[in-house]
Amino acid sequence: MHELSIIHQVGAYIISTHSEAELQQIEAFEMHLGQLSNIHPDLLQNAYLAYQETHPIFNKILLKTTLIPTEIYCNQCHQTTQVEHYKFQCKFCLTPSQNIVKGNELTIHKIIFKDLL
Amino acid sequence: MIKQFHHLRTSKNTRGSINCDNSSFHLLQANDFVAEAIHKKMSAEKILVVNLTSSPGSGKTSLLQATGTLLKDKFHIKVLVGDLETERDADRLKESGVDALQITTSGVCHLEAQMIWQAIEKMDLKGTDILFIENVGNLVCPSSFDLGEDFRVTLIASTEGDDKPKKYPKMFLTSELVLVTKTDLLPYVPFKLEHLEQDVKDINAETEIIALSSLSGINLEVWMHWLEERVLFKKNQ
Repeated sequence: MHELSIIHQVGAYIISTHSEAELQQIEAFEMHLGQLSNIHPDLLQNAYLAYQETHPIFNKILLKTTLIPTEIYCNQCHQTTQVEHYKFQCKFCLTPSQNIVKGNELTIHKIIFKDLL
Repeated sequence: MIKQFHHLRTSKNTRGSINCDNSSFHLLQANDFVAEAIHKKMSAEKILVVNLTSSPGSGKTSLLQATGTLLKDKFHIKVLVGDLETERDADRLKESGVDALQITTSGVCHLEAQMIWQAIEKMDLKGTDILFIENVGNLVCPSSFDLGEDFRVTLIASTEGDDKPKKYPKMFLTSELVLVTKTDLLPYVPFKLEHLEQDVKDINAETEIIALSSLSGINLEVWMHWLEERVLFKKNQ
């Protein structure tokens, strides 16, 4: 439900860290959204459309999202497994694990600039 | 004997922050920075901080009223209460003799570390043993915000249904203790304690569960013992 405020924060961060000339050269930015982040990619895209209405500098900048599944690391057998049906248990040795290595992401992962060549 | 805990923030699960690439910018970084400052300040003053979360109406305030009454001769307790509007919960707690300060979020559906920091600056914490944070009733958003607490305790009332943990996995993943409340109503509602236990253990095998009732007093002594052990550990750190 916080997609709009999140996209505002992302926009503000990108504006504050780039000059106007640099902003013109941005083609896209990519966000990583962990399964546990409580952020829905489609709703984030919709929020971005609304954000673009009031921030035309972003009109030609694409938002890419990657949904990251939850993965846990097993301290017993040292394997990494994907969590299914919210059962936080190693698939190989069945040991419970809360050692989450992926799935909490809520990051601006990459800012992609236009190829100037 | 003082029970040994590896560290008070027992859950290794990240609350707001995450294991991100060095190049990534994490959007909850500012919250986590303030949460760490709160944790350091409370640790220096040896105050146990417990963040109570649940959906609305699960009995957080009633539990704190009962806790305040039972522990008033043992520990000095303070409560920060989060709600969207009104000071009703703080008023209820004060009527029970519990020192409480209301945080009204004006529509925000969770507490953030900055709100806690500003509130504790206004409180006289000298001599305090336990600071409870009664979060806004919501099983979704509060799960992402570290408030600098030592323990996160999530309440689920028997009237809510036993299927909640997997519906709201992140909250249960990041909680060290689950309190099943209103257990005096168990004979009248289709709530199977074993179903809830299975769901909770699937998500986090280390989470403890206590089934209690603030109204009838069932198992309140188990909850008191849980708190006492951690207060003593914190004092002796």
